[in-house]
Amino acid sequence: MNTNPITIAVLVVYLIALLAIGAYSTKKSKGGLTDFFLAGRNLNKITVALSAVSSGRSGWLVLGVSGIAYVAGLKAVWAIAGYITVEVLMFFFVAPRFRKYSEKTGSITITDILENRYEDKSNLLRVTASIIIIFFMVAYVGAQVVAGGTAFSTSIGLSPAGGMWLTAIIILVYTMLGGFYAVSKTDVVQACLMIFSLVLLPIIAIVKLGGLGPVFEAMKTQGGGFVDPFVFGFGAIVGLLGIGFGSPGNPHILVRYMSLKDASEMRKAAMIGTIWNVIMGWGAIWLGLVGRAYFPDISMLPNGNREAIFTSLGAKVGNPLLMGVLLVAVLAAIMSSADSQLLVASSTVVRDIYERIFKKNTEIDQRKLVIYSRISTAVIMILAVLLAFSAKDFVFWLVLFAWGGLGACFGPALLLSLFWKKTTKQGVFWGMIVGVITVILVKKQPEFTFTFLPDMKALFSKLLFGVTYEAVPGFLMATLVTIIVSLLTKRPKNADKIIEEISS
Amino acid sequence: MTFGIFFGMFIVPICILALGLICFKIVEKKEKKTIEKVNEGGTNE
Repeated sequence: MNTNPITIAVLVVYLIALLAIGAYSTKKSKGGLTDFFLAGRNLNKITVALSAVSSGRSGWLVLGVSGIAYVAGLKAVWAIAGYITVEVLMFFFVAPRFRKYSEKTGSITITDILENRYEDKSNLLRVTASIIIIFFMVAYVGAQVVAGGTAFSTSIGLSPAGGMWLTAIIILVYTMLGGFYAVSKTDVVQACLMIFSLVLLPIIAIVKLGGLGPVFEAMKTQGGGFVDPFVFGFGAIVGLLGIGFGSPGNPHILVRYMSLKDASEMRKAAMIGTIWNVIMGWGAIWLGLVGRAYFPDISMLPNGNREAIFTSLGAKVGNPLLMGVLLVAVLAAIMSSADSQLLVASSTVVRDIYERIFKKNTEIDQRKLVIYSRISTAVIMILAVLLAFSAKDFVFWLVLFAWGGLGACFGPALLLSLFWKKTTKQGVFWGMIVGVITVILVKKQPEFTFTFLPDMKALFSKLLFGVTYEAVPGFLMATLVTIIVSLLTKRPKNADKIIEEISS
Repeated sequence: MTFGIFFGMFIVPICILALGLICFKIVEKKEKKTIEKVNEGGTNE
């Protein structure tokens, strides 16, 4: 626990800055749903790039990856190489189509895109996608709030419940006021804090050690995966690279692509995002590896928790000011994801369910819809916090397969919709269902073992040469089912025209 | 420093950055071609 006034002051300045951005953004978000949920498609390339990379990472990068590097060494390289490579390809080749098609059809959410692509008047895709998004996003937000509560309680001594409410209130205020504009601008601040701490802390620690020599010595002493990234075997490496299969389907990352003002700036945004992702990712790995030189045994960390390496190393080499920045960086990682996920859930309720299903043929004043969106944002946050308090296990149960489940559900659906003319509504529907179910069945073996089904984890592990990470079979099965069902059903008449238009 | 450390900590990130740069150039070239096509179409009309 750190109650140094300088550390507290840094924290207070950060929280006030977030609220100030929210207040400033209010006027930018009140024009209509496109303003509130996409910042009027008016964001510059730096904001879009940094918002996309920080929203996608959460505390997993700052605490999780540095913890993996600390415990398993170079294994962490595979964990980040997969998603960064996928996001490079997504940003350069998928994002421009996404941006173009969403503007052309007035799409605000990814369910809008799917419905417009297949001219689906039955609401089949919208309802299915909305249910899946709401379940996962509310759970995501709940888990992030719990993480924020833990960060506040371990760092400055607030009670976990108090920390959770403080996290929730701060996120809620700036998201409600400023919508996507506030969320994206705070993401920029948060991305800067994350990269600053992930680069600065390892550098300070290395300098204090007198160079890289002691770090390499500590790694050699550990041996195994600390000196050889190939020691983990094919299945484990591909499984870790498979984390990247989550990126094409997580809506809170995808909507960033739709918000860029000038479509021709997308490749510059992509390059900025790539550089940022690489520096943050390898900063986290260096941090874990340098941590081994300071804490050779995991029992030296609080409660033997590997994820404490970030704050423990900071306490060892830093001063109260740096500790304040590190605390803020952890909160930044948590909040940058939570606010984006909250907004996606809110857009699903107001745009996808209320406006497009219940009030389908009714003209509604856009300013009224913004008010509803603000109310819905508040209700979802309260629901997420209450769930986190009363059904924490359920929240974490859902979050366990949220990343892979969303990737398998929406990744193949969206990629095939934007690139393959023969994709059909039925193909996408069954692909989404099979993707999510496969992820759940593989992840939760042996809990979900049915007599009429083989052991899915063992089956896919055998078929995929030892790969056990659920997102890989989930993504492959969803792709396969979408293709097969699409080939067996009639494609929409305008498919050729749409694909030609968005690819030119 | 072993080859494994060098590979994991330097080669892999450099390869990803190189991939980013290659993609950047591919997209840039494609965009230039599209602009040229549009301009040619305009001149012909």
